[in-house]
Amino acid sequence: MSDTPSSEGLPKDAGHRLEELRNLFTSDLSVNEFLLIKEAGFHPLGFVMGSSIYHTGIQTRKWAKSQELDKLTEAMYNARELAMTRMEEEAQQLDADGIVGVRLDVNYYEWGSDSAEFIAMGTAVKAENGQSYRNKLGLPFTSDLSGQDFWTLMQTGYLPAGLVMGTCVYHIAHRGLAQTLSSVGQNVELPNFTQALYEARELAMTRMQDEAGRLDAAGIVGVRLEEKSHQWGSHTIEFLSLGTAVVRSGAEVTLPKPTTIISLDH
Amino acid sequence: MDDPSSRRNRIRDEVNRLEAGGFIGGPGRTSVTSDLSIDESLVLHAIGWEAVELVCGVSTYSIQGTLWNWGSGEIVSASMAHARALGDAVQKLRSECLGVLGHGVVGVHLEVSVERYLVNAVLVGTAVAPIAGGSPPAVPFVSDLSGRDFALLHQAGWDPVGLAHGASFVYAPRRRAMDTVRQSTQNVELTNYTEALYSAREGAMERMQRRASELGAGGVVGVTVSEGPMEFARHAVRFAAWGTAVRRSGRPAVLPPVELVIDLDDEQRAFDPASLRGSGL
Amino acid sequence: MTAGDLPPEAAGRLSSPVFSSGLSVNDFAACLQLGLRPVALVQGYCVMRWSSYGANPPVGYRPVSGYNAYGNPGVGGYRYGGVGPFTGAGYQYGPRANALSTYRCPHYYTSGEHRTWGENYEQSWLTSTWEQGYETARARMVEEAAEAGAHGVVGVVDTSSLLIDRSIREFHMYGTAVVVEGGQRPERVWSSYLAGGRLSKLVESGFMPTEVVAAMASVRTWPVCVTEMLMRGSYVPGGYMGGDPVEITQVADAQMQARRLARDHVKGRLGGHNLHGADLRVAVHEIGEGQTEVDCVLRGTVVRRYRAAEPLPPPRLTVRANG
Repeated sequence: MSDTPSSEGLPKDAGHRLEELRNLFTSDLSVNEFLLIKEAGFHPLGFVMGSSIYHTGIQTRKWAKSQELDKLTEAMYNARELAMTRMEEEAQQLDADGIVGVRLDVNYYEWGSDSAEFIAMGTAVKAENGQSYRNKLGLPFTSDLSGQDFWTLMQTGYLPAGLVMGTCVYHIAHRGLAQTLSSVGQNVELPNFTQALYEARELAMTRMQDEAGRLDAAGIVGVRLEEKSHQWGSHTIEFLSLGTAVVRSGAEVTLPKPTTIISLDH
Repeated sequence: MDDPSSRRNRIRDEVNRLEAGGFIGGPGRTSVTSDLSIDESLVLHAIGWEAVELVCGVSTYSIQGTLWNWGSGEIVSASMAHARALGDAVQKLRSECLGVLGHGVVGVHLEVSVERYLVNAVLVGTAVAPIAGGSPPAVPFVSDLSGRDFALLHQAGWDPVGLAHGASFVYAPRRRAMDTVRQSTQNVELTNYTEALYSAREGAMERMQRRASELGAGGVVGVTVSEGPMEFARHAVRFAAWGTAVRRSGRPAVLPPVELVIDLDDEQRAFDPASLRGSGL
Repeated sequence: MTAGDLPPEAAGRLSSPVFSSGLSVNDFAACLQLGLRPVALVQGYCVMRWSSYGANPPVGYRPVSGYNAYGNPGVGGYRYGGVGPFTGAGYQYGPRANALSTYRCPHYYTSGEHRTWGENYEQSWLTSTWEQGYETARARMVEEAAEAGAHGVVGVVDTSSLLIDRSIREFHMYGTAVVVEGGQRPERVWSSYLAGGRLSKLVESGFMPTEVVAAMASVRTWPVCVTEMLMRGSYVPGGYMGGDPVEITQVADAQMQARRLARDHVKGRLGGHNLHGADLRVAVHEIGEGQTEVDCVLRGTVVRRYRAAEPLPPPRLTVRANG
């Protein structure tokens, strides 16, 4: 997982579409989000995306041993990273400072039982004051924040630095289950299972935090933990941890005191 | 309080005071359980009420000897089972409420399931009482309005008196075989279903209104209706309606003027972490 | 693995200078405003064996004496507290089921298949398994928070699901550990399902969270003949079709009992404080032959009042113009 995947260059069609975006912008932002992003001093440039179709096949696993399936972990990680990198490239072509509202999806198609398409998409934005808001690596920042969240975050004196993630594909042992079916009324912890699943989550979270560390981030907000079995059967689970790494932007701005209201709507 | 830094110091001061043992209540005091949100609790508090206890009422009634698919007119035993199940559930909710000296139950979540042989009614809500105390009424009110709605109504000079409900199950008679054949290639109204639905709707609404009048209400707010197919009875329709019966309290209405606002939130924005819990327990 | 023994991965992650937080940006902003600094995402995990008697009556199980007539709630109603020994310091149920109410057959004949007695009982071993799993996961989460030097854990999410043929149940709990800027080192790390704006309102209205709490109650019915027949629609009181509906008391009782038990289990742990934001969830399973299992989980945040409530400033009524 140490080597960053290389980008394969952008398809010709993408280049052409982006060329047209010199004068007009496209975005999947709602009007509310659009207004708040403008309010925060940014301008949307265009809808950007990246995709990668990756073979996420099978790794031999020992029936009776709980273990990380490192080859699968690496495949899942690299596939997403590649999609993200391609999305970032599109954003760079637009000379963007960052990408907001990033969504990461995995699609399975009928034509490839062991492969999947990883897609990343979002709206590229650029600061209106001419200052650069790129992250420490000189790349546009990425974040899965909505327009509203982006505005609120800016008000607290933080800036997004990048969407960070960590993943761990784990195989849970089959053996030992027979013992769980013994006498009723005895409640005991099953330490092997606890240990295995605990470790898998911690690995995913640690990897996410390491990514944030590389961006010199102050922290990560909006962390989500997802668990999916994809197409591997119930004993093999991917633990994915995702969040937006943030850096301090200097002066701390404080939000105005909220007013109590009762909405008469709905 | 208006200065952000003093607000920031507040929790620090409170934490320090708590560590010094400065809190009210503790062992020996009666605990309050409530499923109201903090907003609802605050709004209730603003009108001088508070939560007492999370209460529930459940009743299951059997539907006797019903042949769901053959017959005409109302399916009396089903309508009756529905009315009794809800009525008994309300009674149980009331007696739990009285047991903790509540004056009424707000935010009642109502769940009625109809199966081939039974009707199950589940009511869960929060018993509330005025902070000033006072003895509870002989018949506490039951309302499916949220704490916020209760407070607004209260300010506007209305009191909830109870849950008005009505349900009706009606056969949709089968078409004659000749009609079925003739109509199979035509787009025509299926009058048997139209008539049955009409009859069920009118019957249910009528019962709801009658119950509201019995409660001495001036009206019913927040009426919810429930209708839809029953998979075990293709030749029957059901219609149920319920809402909170309200009447004028005699207190003067004190509603502040309404302001117009535009908010910049999108619908799905508020993220509720509990949603991650899924549908399980 | 015992509590008090963090996995090495966790220890390494918690010592990192980068904070992580599961808070949404709104909650993050509200926490900063309240003077709470997020330090780490903390979690606890526990897997428990989960067992049940299936569709059979409990092994070695006998109806208790003192039958009650069926259909007479005045006699056969809810027996509060059951037979399980009850002490102030947590619940101590034996491995035996906790009998709640009994029902007697009103008929004058019996056959091998005729169920002459029925009983609702709490599957108290499930209650205690749930409690142990939940408490262990929470203890581990709080321990991670203490490790990170936090005062409290906010925005807690707990999930629990049955895995691998429903034979084991996992308990997972996580939340964002926060430090109160300038606050004294707490004796105990507090925890709360609330975060951000809602937590801030709670504090301003005079409450501090103490800990997240949850309890489970699982009630099984061993149906008497009447219950069984009513559930199958084959019982005709009065001997004619289309007669008055009758209440299936045993099933209704089970539903009430499960909810009340869950509430009582939680109340037993409140120590005179209040439960805020109660979330009651119920799942009903049919286990063949009119047997019902009602599982109920109640969770919420224990809050304690530190100052008398101050009335809210008069709220402003608004109408949105963006329909």
